[in-house]
Amino acid sequence: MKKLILPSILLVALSAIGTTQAQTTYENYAITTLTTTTSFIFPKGLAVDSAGNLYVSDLLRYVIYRITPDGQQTVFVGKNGVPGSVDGKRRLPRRLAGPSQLAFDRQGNLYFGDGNGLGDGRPKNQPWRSGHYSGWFADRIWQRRRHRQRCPVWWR
Amino acid sequence: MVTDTIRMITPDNFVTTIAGLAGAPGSADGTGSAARFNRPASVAVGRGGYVYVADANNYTIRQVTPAGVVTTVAGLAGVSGSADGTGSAARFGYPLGLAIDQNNNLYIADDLNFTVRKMTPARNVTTLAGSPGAYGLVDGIGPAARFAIVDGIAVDSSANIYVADLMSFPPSHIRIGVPAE
Repeated sequence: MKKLILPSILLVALSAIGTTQAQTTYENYAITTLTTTTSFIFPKGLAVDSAGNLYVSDLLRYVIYRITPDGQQTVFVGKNGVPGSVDGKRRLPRRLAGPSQLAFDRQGNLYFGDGNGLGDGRPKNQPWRSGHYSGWFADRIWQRRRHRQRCPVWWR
Repeated sequence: MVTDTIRMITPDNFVTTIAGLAGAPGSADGTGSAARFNRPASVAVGRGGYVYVADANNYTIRQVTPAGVVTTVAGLAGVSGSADGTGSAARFGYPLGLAIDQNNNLYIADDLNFTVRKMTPARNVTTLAGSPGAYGLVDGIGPAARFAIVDGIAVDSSANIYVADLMSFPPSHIRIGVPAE
């Protein structure tokens, strides 16, 4: 009896998979890759203003970039590789700790989330040096680096 | 700490939680703190102050009305997939990014499907580019294009899309999508 029931259950399961098979309806978009002068490490948030400029926050470069419609990339706020949390007007040394999502309001003000979730991204008992990542997956990067230093050569 | 709530900052810098309960993940629809979210990854505000939430761990898109009433507008909680369709017939892999255009169309970066999806105000979900389950960094039209880890997404006034496409090692890329045909 059991032997008879099992294949029938399998058949029902298989037919269920057949009927719920993923139906993908395409509304085609042509995809290209943007080429920029400075590459991105972790582009997290994107926003477009009314003039068509694209703003990109890079969580691990601590910078929000502005890219004009003709492809010119400039630093909008923050300094590449220098984390911090300093407010200020234009030309003052403003620092970001890890900008994430971006949004514009109707008046053209830009809003962004900023912070480094886990740790400060440096190995324990060591001073901060340039090249030390911070950000929410900083600890994961250091774990991987430490693992590479300690594992046997054949494993690398 | 993951709080699984949707919060709002008013122009006078007052912070309120408009939906969800801190530290209580779930998928229930409801009003205010009766509703539950599970890793809401991204929000977009549409016409009339309606807030749309990419509820990543539930594989759904949620809508929060200005009164705080939460409903599931697309996808089925707890069931992932790549099917296009209307409302709860559609499936998502792991919706991470969300953007909204002037016509109230939602653009969804569907991470684990490696696709970019679109939902019309009539809740009809379609795929714009990428192939479900196929990973890569290939430019092309519609199903010929490949994405790696789609995360942030933005849309401009002419319905062009901009997608942050992360690689596991730098550099990551910004991909631009233009309506074809």
